Amino acid sequence: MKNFISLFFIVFAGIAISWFGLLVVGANSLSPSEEFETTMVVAGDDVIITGHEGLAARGEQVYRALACAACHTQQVRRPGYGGDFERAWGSRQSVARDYMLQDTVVLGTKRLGPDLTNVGARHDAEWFFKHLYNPGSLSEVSNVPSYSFLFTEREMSDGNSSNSLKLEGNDIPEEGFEVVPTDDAVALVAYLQSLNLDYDLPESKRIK
Amino acid sequence: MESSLTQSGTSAIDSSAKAPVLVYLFSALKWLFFASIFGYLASWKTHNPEFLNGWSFLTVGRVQAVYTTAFVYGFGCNIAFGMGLWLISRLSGESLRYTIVLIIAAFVWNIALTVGLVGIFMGHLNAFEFLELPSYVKLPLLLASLVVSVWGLLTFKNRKNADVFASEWYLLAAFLVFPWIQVVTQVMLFTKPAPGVVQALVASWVASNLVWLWFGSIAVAGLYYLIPKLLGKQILGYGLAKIGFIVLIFAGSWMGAAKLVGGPLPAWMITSGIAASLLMIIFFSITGINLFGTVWKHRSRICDNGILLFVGFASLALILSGIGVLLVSLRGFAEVTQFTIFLDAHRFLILYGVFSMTMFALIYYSFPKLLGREWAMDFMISTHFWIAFIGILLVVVPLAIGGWQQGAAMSDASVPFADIVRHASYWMVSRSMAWIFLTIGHLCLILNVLATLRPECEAIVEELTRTEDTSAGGVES
Amino acid sequence: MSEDQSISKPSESVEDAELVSLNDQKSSGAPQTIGYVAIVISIVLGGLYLVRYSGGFDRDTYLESNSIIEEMAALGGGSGADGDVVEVAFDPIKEGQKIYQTNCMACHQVTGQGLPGAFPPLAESEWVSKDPALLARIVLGGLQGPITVKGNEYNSIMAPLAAVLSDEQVAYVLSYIRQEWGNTAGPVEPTVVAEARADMGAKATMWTVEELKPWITE
Repeated sequence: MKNFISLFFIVFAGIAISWFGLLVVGANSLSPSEEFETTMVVAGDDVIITGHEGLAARGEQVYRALACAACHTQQVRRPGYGGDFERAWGSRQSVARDYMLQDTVVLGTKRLGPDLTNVGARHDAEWFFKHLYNPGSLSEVSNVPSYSFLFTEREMSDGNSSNSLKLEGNDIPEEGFEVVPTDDAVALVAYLQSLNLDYDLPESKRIK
Repeated sequence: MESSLTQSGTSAIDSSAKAPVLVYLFSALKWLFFASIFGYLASWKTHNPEFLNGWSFLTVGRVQAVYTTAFVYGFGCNIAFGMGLWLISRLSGESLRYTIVLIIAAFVWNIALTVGLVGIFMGHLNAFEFLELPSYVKLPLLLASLVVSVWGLLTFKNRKNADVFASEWYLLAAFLVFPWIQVVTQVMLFTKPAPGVVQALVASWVASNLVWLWFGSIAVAGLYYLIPKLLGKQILGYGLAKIGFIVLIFAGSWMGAAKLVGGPLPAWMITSGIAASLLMIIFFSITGINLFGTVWKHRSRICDNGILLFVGFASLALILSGIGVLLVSLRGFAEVTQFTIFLDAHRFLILYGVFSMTMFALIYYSFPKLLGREWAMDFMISTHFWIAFIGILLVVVPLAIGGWQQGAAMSDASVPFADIVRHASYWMVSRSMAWIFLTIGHLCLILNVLATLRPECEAIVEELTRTEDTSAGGVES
Repeated sequence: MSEDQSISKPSESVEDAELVSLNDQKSSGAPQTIGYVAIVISIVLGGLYLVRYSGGFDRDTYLESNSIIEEMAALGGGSGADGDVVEVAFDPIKEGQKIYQTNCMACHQVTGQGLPGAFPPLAESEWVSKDPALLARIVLGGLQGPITVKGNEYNSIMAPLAAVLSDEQVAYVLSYIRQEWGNTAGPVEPTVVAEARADMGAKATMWTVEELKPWITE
């Protein structure tokens, strides 16, 4: 390692080998292909893997813009490794195929909030809206900030709008006013509702 | 022999490097101050999320992204560029040429970074840790860092000093790796995104190489340089240093996948990351002996010099980080620590305990040589060290304990999740306290710099007041 | 200002150019021992770990060791990954299902209902429970012309699969169809298919119902 050429070559080789052997090989083997399909039948059920579409796609961008991945993960570990299965976060390990067609994969690296891979199956839209507006009103959450800037409080015109929030206690707005979600909030909730792991794959089957 | 080997030759190198290195140094200090504020704010919001809540641009995730970006790309990269260039030119015995280009690169870097941070505030951030900057600033950043890399590589290629010291290997590695990982990030994540979960693999690979092969290499290069220079003694076991370097390059680059243990990746990818981490025992042992071993052998000299305190601590932190790398890669250990604040503690130990402390040491060593005068407040060096030391302890120890507790509780489904987070947030308060100490430490450094530059500062103030007097006088008459 | 002090604090006795010559020594003693021990240990550990837990470098293997694969299988979940794995008994019906999905599903649909007016159903079809020799000929030789299934007439083309499927594969897919969607006929043996293939020889045209009369029994 006495000269420029040999040093350059050593470093170049090291990075190139790891880049190719891990990333390029990985990208090739985990791309959709004829024998790594996105639609299949597993145990008699049709399974179609998709990316997020429509309103949920917009919600994916809101999720990214609000940096939710700073505290939430979207990966379920196998039963018996950590408590993911026991906490009912998912009945099977999430695998590569689950994410294959998503635009932005936000696996997340920290859990200051629960895992969200299967959250669409755990809560409905009303719960999500309440959670975003005032998480403290829901007993099971604790450390998440409120995202009230995703909502507007406005004067009622002709009674309650169809999507105004049903609030309780201190949250109820004054007489004649209602709280409605903005477009971003609606998209985000649509995205969260689309997060679902309740289907089997050949390489990962649910434990009932 | 060559004139570069004499004291006057070194001064010639220092004076050629002075302008660009000082530009990078001052930029780094500016960003360090900014990052300190946001480090404190980000930490505070993790246990008090309602603090300053209510606007989208200050939501907890974005503030964390701003802090990470400002610290890594603002302080970290600027000081790495500056000290990397200074070290390579000194060790090569070759002056930096056409330094105006380096100065322009510094401005381009900082302007692009500022634009990127505004973008993050506005929500244009990306979802990958360390890679949050929006795509539209990636090209100027890449060009600026390419300039630094090319200058560094060419300076080495044209070296007058035939011998190649360990620091130079690591500097070359750093200069080559940093642009490469930037290109991989932009192409494989945003331009032509990899399919699905491979994005997470790419992000992990890039983040790991950013930390170990970019920042880690610069830090290790700095330590290999400072230890013999300050102690005037041989490095213990230097004959093995080559092997450590080879292992870092060939195994260290594979480590990233281990972070995704238990995740949606085929077993072989994760196993390759864990095997690479096991091989890194070689790197940490050898550099541990070389660096900390040498400092320990001459530990009686540490109190002579504040800079040696930084160097000794950073060397020790390197060994501890290595133990951490080994532990968190093992599947059994990772089962507990994986999504917890333990990883925050480990990362902080590496980026602050090893990298930043080495950079502080390099600043304290190089600044007088570049300016041609001593530090105005020499005693502040040790003061800075001890304050920083307390700060680092207050981050690493509580978060490590709290993270272990958090992980153990998460594996036990009978513990409600809300309780886990509440307990973890008590530990995280310590980090916010630590940021107060760390910020004071940074202020010690900044004050020291300003005091040392007193003649220049006074001249500027005089210039400004003289202009006022003249104009005031003009109005009167 | 003050007089010109030496700029370095303790002795800057080492010039940059001297760094290599200062350190140019063969390591010996404790550092060398520790270094070589570390090298041997980590290569052994790393190598063993890589070999043991790589799951055969298979794309679909997410569980790193056999014991975990067995554990998951016992719970009813996990994956049936290939490679270094627990031996699972071969299931011809499952195999037949895979063949069906690849070759037949496009027309006869995943539910076996076919497409009204276009492709006849297989679910509870009277044809499916007829002589296996008949079914083997249809699959191997293809079918054209009018055919009545469950009271409806269809007139399409079914492509011959003699060149695509082996005798075993035809047997598996027929066995699958004959027990799926409410069908309750027995499995088909590969020997029957082999006989049919030999008998057909190099048939140039696809079967018609007329030609199949000898094998249509009530």
